[in-house]
Amino acid sequence: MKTNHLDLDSLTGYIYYTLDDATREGIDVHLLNCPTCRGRLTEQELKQRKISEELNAVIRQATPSNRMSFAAISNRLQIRHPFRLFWGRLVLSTPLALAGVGLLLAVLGLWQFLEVRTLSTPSQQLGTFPTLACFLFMLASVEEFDKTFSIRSRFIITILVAGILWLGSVFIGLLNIIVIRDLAILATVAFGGKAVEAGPVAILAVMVAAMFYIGVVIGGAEYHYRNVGQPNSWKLFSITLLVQLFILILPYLIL
Amino acid sequence: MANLEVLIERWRAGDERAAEAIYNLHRDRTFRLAFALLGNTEDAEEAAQDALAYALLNIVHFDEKRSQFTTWLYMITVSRSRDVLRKRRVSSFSLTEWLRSHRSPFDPHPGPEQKAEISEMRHTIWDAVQSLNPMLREAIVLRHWGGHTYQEIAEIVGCPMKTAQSRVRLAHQKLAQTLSETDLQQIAEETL
Repeated sequence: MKTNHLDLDSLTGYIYYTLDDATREGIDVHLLNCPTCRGRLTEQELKQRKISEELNAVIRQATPSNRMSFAAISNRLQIRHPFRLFWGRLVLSTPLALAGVGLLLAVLGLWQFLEVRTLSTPSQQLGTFPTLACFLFMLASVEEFDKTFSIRSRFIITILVAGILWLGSVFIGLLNIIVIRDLAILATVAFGGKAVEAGPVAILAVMVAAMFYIGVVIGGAEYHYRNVGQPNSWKLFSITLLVQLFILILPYLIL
Repeated sequence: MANLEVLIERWRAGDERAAEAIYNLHRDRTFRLAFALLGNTEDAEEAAQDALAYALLNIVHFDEKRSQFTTWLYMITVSRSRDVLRKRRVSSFSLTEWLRSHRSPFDPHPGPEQKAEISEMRHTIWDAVQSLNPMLREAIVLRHWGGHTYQEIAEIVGCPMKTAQSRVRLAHQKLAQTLSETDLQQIAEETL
């Protein structure tokens, strides 16, 4: 300790109180016995105080122009009138409402598929609920594009919307696999294959789709977790949902 | 501070004069924070106006038990300043914008007296702060200019307290690296 002088990192940490107690005490002991480091510490403190003073002087000197006045924003504050306040809150909660209704429709779609299996065309068994749900999810993600997540009041709404969109895309993804399976069967028959051959083709299609699905679900979850509330996260949701919507309406386009 | 609480209550009840008073109380400091983060008057005014308007509009969401009004307002200002920086990054290159963004805050119309007053060193320090990564700049500005505690800095910029501490320390080390030995020597001499 006597020969090893303190480095800049330790000195800066000491000045800014960012070191833990043990390290700080160690430095205190060293400083008691080392005039060189005491001198360097004083010098650093003075430099940093000077930097602080000069920075403050520049910032204090800055003054806003006359354009920056209360009158310039008073129009925006009219939103506090009861009707506008109601409208503002409605707009704020629109993505959440869209996503919530979408999730309900997706669950209904899945339930309908499991319960009602009487329609002749397999993919049409899915009905319109999932398609509508996917469309609502997309609207919700697009709605969120320009919202600022850093504002605390939006934290809960943003996290809820992102969570519902992820869950919704997981549901829709399952339905997408069903559609892909059906399309594989139809394609095999349409290209002259026998009904017996359609089975293995369908299994292969489901396996490929399932692998892709798992990748998207896990990768997407990690990406959205890291970027929740950021424009890129909403963009990825929109792209994913657009692809899912396309797969859902594919049977209607083909058949 | 009790006065501010009364004003907030009055504004919540719909008294627009209270909103104006809150605005006037915080106008300059909000602007200066944005100015320190963005480096030019025009962008700082835009960010500060947005922040003040947002804060006043959403006063119902402000929870005085959780934080001080200024901490909440600065959190919004930092957020708005980040938005401006983001926009600046994605907007296409413009020579006039570039010149404006590299203009020193003293440039607009400095008179002879002002010119004499402002030391070269002040320019150097300001440029060094502006060249810092935005996250480090936020930390050092809030620490030095705002005089905020690490806990408050963490709350304002939305990070853990340890991260706020590291950012302040790292910002200072970067500043020391950016400012040449000669600059630092000059600072030391002027100080001693």
